[in-house]
Amino acid sequence: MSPSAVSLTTIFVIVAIGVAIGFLESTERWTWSSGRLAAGASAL
Amino acid sequence: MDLEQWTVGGRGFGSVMFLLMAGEVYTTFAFLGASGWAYSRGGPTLYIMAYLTLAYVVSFFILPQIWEVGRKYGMQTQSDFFSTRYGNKYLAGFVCVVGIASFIPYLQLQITGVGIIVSIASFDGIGRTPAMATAVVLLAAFVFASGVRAVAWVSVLKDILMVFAAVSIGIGIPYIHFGGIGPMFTALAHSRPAHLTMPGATTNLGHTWYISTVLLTSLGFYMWPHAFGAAFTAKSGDTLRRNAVVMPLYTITLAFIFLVGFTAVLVVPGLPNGDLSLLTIVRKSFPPWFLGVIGGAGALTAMVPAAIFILTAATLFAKNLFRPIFAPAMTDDQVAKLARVMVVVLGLISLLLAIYKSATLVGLLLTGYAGVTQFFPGVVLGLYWKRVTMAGVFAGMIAGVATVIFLMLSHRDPLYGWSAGFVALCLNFLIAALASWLTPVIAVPE
Repeated sequence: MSPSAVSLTTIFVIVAIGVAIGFLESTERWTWSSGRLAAGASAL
Repeated sequence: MDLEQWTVGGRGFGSVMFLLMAGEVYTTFAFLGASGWAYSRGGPTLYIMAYLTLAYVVSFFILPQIWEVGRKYGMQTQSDFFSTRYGNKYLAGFVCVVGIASFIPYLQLQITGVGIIVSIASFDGIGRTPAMATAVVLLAAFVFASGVRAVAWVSVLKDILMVFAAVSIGIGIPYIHFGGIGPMFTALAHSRPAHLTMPGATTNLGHTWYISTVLLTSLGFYMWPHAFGAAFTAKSGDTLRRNAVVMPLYTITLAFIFLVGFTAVLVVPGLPNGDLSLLTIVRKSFPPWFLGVIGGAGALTAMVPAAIFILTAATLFAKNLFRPIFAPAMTDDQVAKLARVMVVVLGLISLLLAIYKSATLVGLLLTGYAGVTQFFPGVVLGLYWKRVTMAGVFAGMIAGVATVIFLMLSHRDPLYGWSAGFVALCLNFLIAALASWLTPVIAVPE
């Protein structure tokens, strides 16, 4: 792979992970903000 | 998901979650803009470290009060505060217009940042315009589908990556090129002795500019509608106080970003735009996969805050400007739908400005600050002075905003060395106080 393909692919993967986390959270398949992690956060 | 869930997340964010939301202040401005000014301006850039720290001192005292009145009166936005405190929908509408207008350069900043990242990461193979257009489409889809809760947990990834990126390149790049941070500063002081002092590489950003800009931006930090609105998402006033104590430590991250900009002065001199310096020197110093990691961190650092900005601006338009003034019969559901349409509209406006109007990233942010800081007198006088009147605040704000527009458009910033936004803020305060003495007080909520 060319240097630009390597760097762009890495960027794409990171952004895709970020977008996936956002969509999963919004559909509440992962209920982090209303579930265990949020409960832990509230306790702090 | 109802409007309150979409905008303030049901007021349920505890310490960690709120910290993440508050962390949205670290945008591509901090990532590319701060290094860009360290590269192109030198000493004046250090105002950023000063203002961020002082801003949390201001927030310690005023945010818990804002949260308290927000909870009491069911406020969701900054405009709700003005509407409830001063009882005038036109003042609240004016706050919306200024807030949305100030958001545009901030959004433009994030979109420009993504364009720079993709352009450099592709080794100049992809132009900025297609990269920025793709970013806006992704951004709109992201916000359209979710709201504030979706953005909150992406912040975990974004903040971990940003801290990793800042520390690794802040230490690594001076070490690679000079054998350490100390030797880098020695070389810089020898080669460019004026770069690290005031006015640095500029001719007009001296000590007066530094002090007035630090005051402007630290007082205005929580006047950004999204930052003000973030106070409503907190679980309690104590959450906000704890946040104010902890957040200055997060500011240390920026010091590492400055180190990259200062190193770039010597390693990649002569760049046409300082905002290119961070990624250009990363590309020169590390393998492509690492450039991708830094670029990915930068892209999320642009897109996650941009999602919050665009969400806030769209909600302000629909809920606090359009409904109260043009369509009082609108339901919450219709307001939420209109806000989603505005996400697209604001994204397109920012994209067009990013394509056709160039400015440094820090310059864009300071333009926005000059606008939003004009809310400060109305907020603090409204919280702490019973004698303040709607007419006084409205007159002061109009004078402040008009002064900012005149000075900016006539290229008089700085004005005799003073930040134009700060000059306008002083005038705003003076007129608000004098006009309040001269006009009758109308009964306001406790």
